[in-house]
Amino acid sequence: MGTAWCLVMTGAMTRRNIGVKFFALPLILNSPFLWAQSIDQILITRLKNRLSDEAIVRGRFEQSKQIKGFKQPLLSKGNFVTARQKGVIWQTRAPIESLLVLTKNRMSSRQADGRLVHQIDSNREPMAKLIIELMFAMLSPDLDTLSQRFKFEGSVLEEVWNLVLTPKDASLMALIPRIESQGNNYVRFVQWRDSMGDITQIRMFGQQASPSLSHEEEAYFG
Amino acid sequence: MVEKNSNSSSSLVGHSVWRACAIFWLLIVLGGAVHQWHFWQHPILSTDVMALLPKDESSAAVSIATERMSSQASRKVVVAIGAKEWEDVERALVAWRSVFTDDSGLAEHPIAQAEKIEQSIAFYAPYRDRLLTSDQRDLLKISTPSDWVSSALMTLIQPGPTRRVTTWSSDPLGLWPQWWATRAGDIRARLRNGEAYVTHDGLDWAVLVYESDRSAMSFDGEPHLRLLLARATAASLAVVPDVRLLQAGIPLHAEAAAVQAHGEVNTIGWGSLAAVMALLWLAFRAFRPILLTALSLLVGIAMATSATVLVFGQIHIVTLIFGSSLIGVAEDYGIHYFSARQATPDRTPMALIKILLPGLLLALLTSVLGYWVLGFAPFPGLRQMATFSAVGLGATFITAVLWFPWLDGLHAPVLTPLAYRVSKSLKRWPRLSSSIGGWTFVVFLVMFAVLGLIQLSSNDDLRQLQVGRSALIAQQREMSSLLELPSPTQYYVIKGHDAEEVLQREEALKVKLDRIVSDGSLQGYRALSDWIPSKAQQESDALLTAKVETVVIDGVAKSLGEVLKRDSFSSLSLTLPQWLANEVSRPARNLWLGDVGGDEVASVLMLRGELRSEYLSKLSAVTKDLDGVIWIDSTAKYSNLLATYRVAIGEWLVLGHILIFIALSWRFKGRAWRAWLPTFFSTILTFASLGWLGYPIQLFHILAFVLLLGVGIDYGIFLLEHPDDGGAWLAVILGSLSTVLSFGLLGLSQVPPLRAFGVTVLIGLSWVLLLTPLLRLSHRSELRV
Repeated sequence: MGTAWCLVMTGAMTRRNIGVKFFALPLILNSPFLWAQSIDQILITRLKNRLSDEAIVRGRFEQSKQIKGFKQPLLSKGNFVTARQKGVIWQTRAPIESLLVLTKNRMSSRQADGRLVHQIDSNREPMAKLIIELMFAMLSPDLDTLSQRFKFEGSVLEEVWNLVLTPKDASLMALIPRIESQGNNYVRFVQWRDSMGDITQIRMFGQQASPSLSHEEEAYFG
Repeated sequence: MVEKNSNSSSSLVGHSVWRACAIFWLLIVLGGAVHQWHFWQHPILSTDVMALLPKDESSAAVSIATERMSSQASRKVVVAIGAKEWEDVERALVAWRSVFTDDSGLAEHPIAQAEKIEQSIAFYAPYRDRLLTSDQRDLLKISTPSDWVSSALMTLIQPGPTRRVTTWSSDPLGLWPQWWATRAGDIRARLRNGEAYVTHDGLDWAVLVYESDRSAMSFDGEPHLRLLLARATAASLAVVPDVRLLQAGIPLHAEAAAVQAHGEVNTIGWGSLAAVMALLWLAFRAFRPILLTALSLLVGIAMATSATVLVFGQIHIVTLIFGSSLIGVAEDYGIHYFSARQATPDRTPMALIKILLPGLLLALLTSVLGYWVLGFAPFPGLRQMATFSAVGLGATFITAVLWFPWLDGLHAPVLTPLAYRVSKSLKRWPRLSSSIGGWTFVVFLVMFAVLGLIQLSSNDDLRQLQVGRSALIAQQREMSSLLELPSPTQYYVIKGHDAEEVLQREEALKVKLDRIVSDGSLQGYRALSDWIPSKAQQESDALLTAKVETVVIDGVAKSLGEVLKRDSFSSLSLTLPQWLANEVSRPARNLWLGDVGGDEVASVLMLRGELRSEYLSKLSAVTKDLDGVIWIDSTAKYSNLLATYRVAIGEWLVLGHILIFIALSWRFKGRAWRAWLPTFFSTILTFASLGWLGYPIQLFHILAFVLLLGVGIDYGIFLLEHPDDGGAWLAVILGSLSTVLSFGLLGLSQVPPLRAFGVTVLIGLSWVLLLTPLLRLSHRSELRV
C-alpha cells in the first residue's frame, strides 16, 4: 500500500489554502452551540416557508466570474430549469453556447449541439460526489442537503432574506470557504469565493413555475 | 548362543578403542550442550513462511524484486472501520485509537499533511506541461484547436467550484487536475477530515495503516497482535455496536502461524516422547531402558538442532515440528538394544552391541538416505529438515552404540509378561505361503491396489500448501477488494541499462496493457513512468501542450478581450534522481528497484484489481515483442517447481528402491527380497490408499514415500538379521508402533506439507507392519497361511 500519500491528491485538486488545518468537529454541548443550532433550524424553517416550492422552475441568469489573472470579470448569461429532486439544467447562451446538466449523481457538460464534452459520475470518485451534491443543492436549492454540510447564518425578513453559509467539513472548507445568498420567494443572488481565489456571482431573475419538462430535458435527466 | 570369544588381547584393544570413541563423543556432546544453552537464551527461530520457498537464481533482478515485494508487505497491517454514517466511523476511530500506546508494537502511519501537498504541487509545477495521461495525449493529438478554445471557455464560465490547482494561464485546458485524479485513481482511498476514506458496499470506511515493530513483536508463540487488535475491536464495538471491522496484513498471518507452530512442536514432540516412554515401560518395566533411550533421544535432538543452526544460521519452526516426529524413528536403536538384552540376558552389553551393530548400521544408513533425499529439492525448508533429521538419527545411533555398553548395568531388564507374550507371538504369526488362502489374500491386495491407483490424482498448486486461517483469509480478500490493492504475486519487472531505457520500455509495455485494460481483462496498473515519464516522452509532450495551449490561450484572450500569456515551464526534463529525492515520490518509490547487478537497473510494474486466471496468459503474452520486460507469476512459478520436483523425486524413489534392493542383496544374498518386497508393496498400497481417500498427490507425499522407504525397510532388515528371534520381534513391534504414533501426530498438523508427511507415513508403515512378518524368514516350519 505504499503510503497514504496519494489519497490526498484529489484534495490537492480543489484545495489551495496553506493554512488549512484538519480538526474534528468539537462536540460542545454548552449553550452557545445549542443556541446556534436552533438559529439554524429557525432560519431553515423560515426559508422553507418563504421559498416557493413549485416542482419545476424556469428562469434566467447572469453570471460574473472574476478569475485570478484576468483583468476583467467573465460575464455570461443564459437560462436555467430546476426540477425539484430531479436536477438542474444550466444553459449558457453567451459568450458561448453550452449546457450543464446536474442530477444528484452526475454532472455532464455538453456543447451547443448537445454533444457530450465531459461527464463525472459521483460514484467514481468520492470528491466528485461532494462537488456534484453541492452544486445540485445550491442551484435547486436543496436546503436539507445544504444544512447537513453548512452552517447557516443570516436573517429572514418580511420581503427578503440573506444567508451566509460556512462549511462544517474541513475538506469542504477548502473547496468553498463561504457562500452568500439572497432572495425573496426565489433565490435571486448567489456569490462564493473558491480555493483558487476566483469569485463567482450569479444573479437569477424572471423565475416562473412551469407545468412540465420538455422531452429533451427529461432525456437529459434520465 | 553365548559368544565366549576370541583372543582377549584383541578384545581389550577393541575395548580401549571403544572407550576412546565414547569419551570423544562425550566431548562433542558437551560442546553441543553448551551451544544449545547459548542458543536457547536468544533463539533465532524463524517463522517466515516465505523463507521455506526457494530463491529464484535465474535472474538477479527478479530475486531482488521478489524480496522487495515481500519485505515491503511483510510489516504492514491495514485496518478498515466501516459504518453507515461517517460520524459513527469517527467515533469508533477515537475508541480504536485509545487502545494503542507507544509500545504496543504497531505504529500508525500518519496521513499526509497539508504542507506536503503544497510541496508536491510546487515540485511538479515547473514540469506540468509534460505530464499527460495517455487519454489526454490522444485527445490533444486529434482535436482541432478551435474545439479546445470553446472547451476552455465552457470550463471557465461553468458555475461551481473550480477544480484547478494552479493559475489558469499555466493550465488553460485543466489537464492537470485530471492527471492528479488519474494518479489518485491508483488508490481508492481519499481524504476526509484527516482520515483515509473509502465508500464500499454502501458503508463509509476509514482506513488505518500500521507498521509492525518486529522487535517488540518477535514471534514467540504468544498472539500479541491478535490480542491487541481484539482489545481495540472491543473498544470500537462498545462505542458503535454495529460498526464493521476488517484487519489484514502479513504480520497477522505470520503470528497466527507462529502460535500454531509453537503449539504443534509441543504436542508432537512431547506426545511422541510420552508414547515412546509408555511403550518402553509396558515392555520392560524398568527405569534404565527408559532413561537411556531418553538420553539418546535428547542427545540426538540437541545435536541436530545445533548442527542445523550452525549450517543455516537459524532454525525454522517447521523444521522443529518435523524434527519432533524424529523421536518416533530414532528410538529404534534404544529399543532394539534393550529388547535384545531382555531376550539374551547373559550376553554382555559390549558383545550385544557388536552383534546388533551391522543391522543397526544398515538401518541407520537406509533411514539417513531416505531423509537425505529430502534435501535434493531446492527448498531451504526441506534442506533444513533433511540436515536436522540426518544429524539427529546419526547422533542417536552413535550415543546408543558408544555409550550404552558403559551405562547399562550388569542386569538386563526382566522379561515382562507383555514382552514375553509379544515375543512368543512371533512363532504364531502367520506367514504367507502358496495356498488358496495365501493367493486369495494376494489377489485381494492387488485389486485394492489397482482400484486405488485408478482414483489417484495430483495437484501441485502452491495455494493448497498455505497455512490458512479461513477467517483471516476472508478478511484479507475483502480488504483487497475494498482498497483495490495491487497483486503482490503477479507483476512485471522491466530491466534496462539506465533509467531512461527502463522508463521507455515501461511506456511501450503500458501501450500494450492499455489495450487489455480497455477490453476489461485488467482493472489497471501502477507504473513508475506514470509519475515520471521518460525524457523522450516528456519532451514530446511538452511540445504538444505548448502547441495546443498557446493557441487556446490566444483564442480565449481574443474572445474575452483579455491579454493573457502562457506561463513558462522548465526547459529541462524531470529526472529520476530528482524525483526520487523528493517527498512526492513516496507513493511510487517502491516501484524502482535500482541497481540489480550486471550493469542493469530495473523497475516493477504492478497490476491492480483481481487477476483472473484466464487472463494471465494474455498478460504473459504481452512480453513477447518487448525487450527487457519479464512477466513474474510467483504462484505459477512455485507450482511448476513443485510439479517438476514431484516428478523428479518420484524417479529418485524408484531408483532408491532399486539401490536399496541391491544393498540388501549384498548383505542378505538371495533372501533380500523378504526385507525389500514388503516396503515396495506397501508403497504401492499406500498410493492406492491415498487414491481411495481422495488425497491429490503432491511433492510432499512423494517425499514422504522416500521417508517410508528409509524407515520401513528397517523392520525387514531386523527380521532378516535375527530370524525367529522374539527379542527382535518385540523391538520391531515397539519401534514401529512408536514411529506410527509420531507420524500420526504429525498428520494432525495444520501445516499442509507436514500433514502430507504424517498421513502418508502413517498409512505406509501400517501396511509395512502388516506385510513384513508375512514374508519373514523362518527356520522352522510352522503355521502357514
